[in-house]
Amino acid sequence: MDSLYHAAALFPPDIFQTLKTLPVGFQEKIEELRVTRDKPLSVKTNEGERLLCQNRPITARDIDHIVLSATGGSYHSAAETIKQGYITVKGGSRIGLCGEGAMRGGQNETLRYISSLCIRIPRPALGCADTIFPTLCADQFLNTLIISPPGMGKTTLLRELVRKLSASGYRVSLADERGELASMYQGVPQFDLGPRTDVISNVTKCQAAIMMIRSMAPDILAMDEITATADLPAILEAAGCGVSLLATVHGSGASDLKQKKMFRELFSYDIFQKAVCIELQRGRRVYTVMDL
Amino acid sequence: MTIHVIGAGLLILAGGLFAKNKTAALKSNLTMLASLASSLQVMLSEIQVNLTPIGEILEMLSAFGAPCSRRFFQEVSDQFTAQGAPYLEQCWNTAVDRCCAGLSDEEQRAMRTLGEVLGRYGVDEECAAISRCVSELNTGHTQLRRRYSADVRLYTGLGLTAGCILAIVLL
Repeated sequence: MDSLYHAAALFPPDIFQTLKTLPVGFQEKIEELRVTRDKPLSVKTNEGERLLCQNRPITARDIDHIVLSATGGSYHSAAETIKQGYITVKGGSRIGLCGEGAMRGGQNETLRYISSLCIRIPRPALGCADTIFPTLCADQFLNTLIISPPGMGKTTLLRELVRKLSASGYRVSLADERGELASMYQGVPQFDLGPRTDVISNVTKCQAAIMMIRSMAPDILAMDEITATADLPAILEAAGCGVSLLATVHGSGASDLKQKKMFRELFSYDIFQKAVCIELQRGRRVYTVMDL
Repeated sequence: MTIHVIGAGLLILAGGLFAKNKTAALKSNLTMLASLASSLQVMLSEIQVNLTPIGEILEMLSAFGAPCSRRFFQEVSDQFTAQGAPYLEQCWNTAVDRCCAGLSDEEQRAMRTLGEVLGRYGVDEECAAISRCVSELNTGHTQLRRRYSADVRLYTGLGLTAGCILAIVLL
C-alpha cells in the first residue's frame, strides 16, 4: 500500500473517503496534505495547492483523531519527536506539527493545542538519480552533499542514491533520525534501500552514525539534513576512518552555504568533494553535480 | 413420600449450588482483580522502560499477561486492531463492560478512567494513571479478600438453610 494511502488512513472516515476517491493521476502528484484547524483540507502538488471539501472545515476533534492515529494511540512512544515538532508514520510520511509549546529550562517539552499539520507524502522516485550516478561514482564514490531549499526532493534523491550505491556493491550505513528515509516498520524498511544497507532509525544522527561507523564497517555513511554543529563529530569521525559520506543540507547552493557561519567550520575541513544542487526548472527537478 | 424426600434433597442441593455459585463468583472477582493489577503493572513497565506502543502491549498481555486478564486484553486488542487508535477509549470501555462486569462500581470506574488517559499523554502521566488504577484494584482486592471468608460462610449457610427450610415445608 502506498504512502498516500497510509497518510489518508490517518483522517476521519469521511475525509479518508474523499482522498481515496480522488482521480488516480491526481493522487500520484500529491506531495503534501495541509491540515489547519477551522479551514478545509489543502492538497499540495508540484502545480500548487488546492482546497478539498470546502464545506467541511477541519475541527479540533479531527486533529485529535489524526494525531491519535499517527501515534498509534501511543503518545508516549512519539513524545520525543512531538517535542521536536514532528511524527513519522508507517509509509514514511512525516507529519509536521504546529501548536502551543510548553517550555521548561529553555527546552520545548511538548506541543499542545495542535493547530495545524503538514503531512509530507514520500515518493520513491526510482530512477531519479540515473543521470548523476555515473558522475558521482566515476572512479570511486566521493563525499557528496545534496543541497537545496526545503521541499525540493533532497530526501527522495538521497534514498535513491543509497539504493543505487547499495546495489552497486557499496556497504551503506543509514542514520535515519526521523524515520523518513527507510520508514522502518517492525524491523522492515518500507522503501527499497538496496541489498547492502543497514539502518538505525529514531536515534540522533550523530549517535547513530558513530554507532554504525564503529560496529557496521560501512563504505558509505548516509545522513539527512545535517546541521553542521550537531553533526560535525560524526562527520569528522567518518572522514577520519575512511568512510565516505553522503548527506543532505538545506541551502540554495554551495556558495550560499559557504557564507553561513554554521557551515564555514564544516567546509574548512575540506571533507566534501562533490555537491548535487537541486533546482526546479519549468516544473521539473534538475540535478547539477559540481566540485566543492 | 419418596417423591417428597427426593424433592427435599433437590431443594437442599439447589441451596448448596447457590452457595457454590456465589463463592465461585467471589473467587473469580478476587482472581480477576489480582490479574488485572498484575498485567497493568507490566503495561506500566513496558511504557516506562521501553516506550512500547499500546498496540504491542495489548497483544503481549493478551498472550502472556496474568491468565484471568488475558480475555480482557484480547478484547481490547481485537477492537483496537479493527477500529483504530482513535477509538482506544471506546475499545477499552467495551472490554470493561464485557469482561469486568463482576467488579465493583469503583473498580470499573477506575478502569474506565484509565481508558480515558491511555495513549494520550507522555510517559509520566500515563504511568501515574496506571499506578492509580492499580492502586484502586489492589484496594478492592484487599477489601474483598477480607470479606471473602465471612461471605463464603454467609452464602453457604444461607443456601443450605433456605434449602432445608423449603425441604421441611415440602415434607
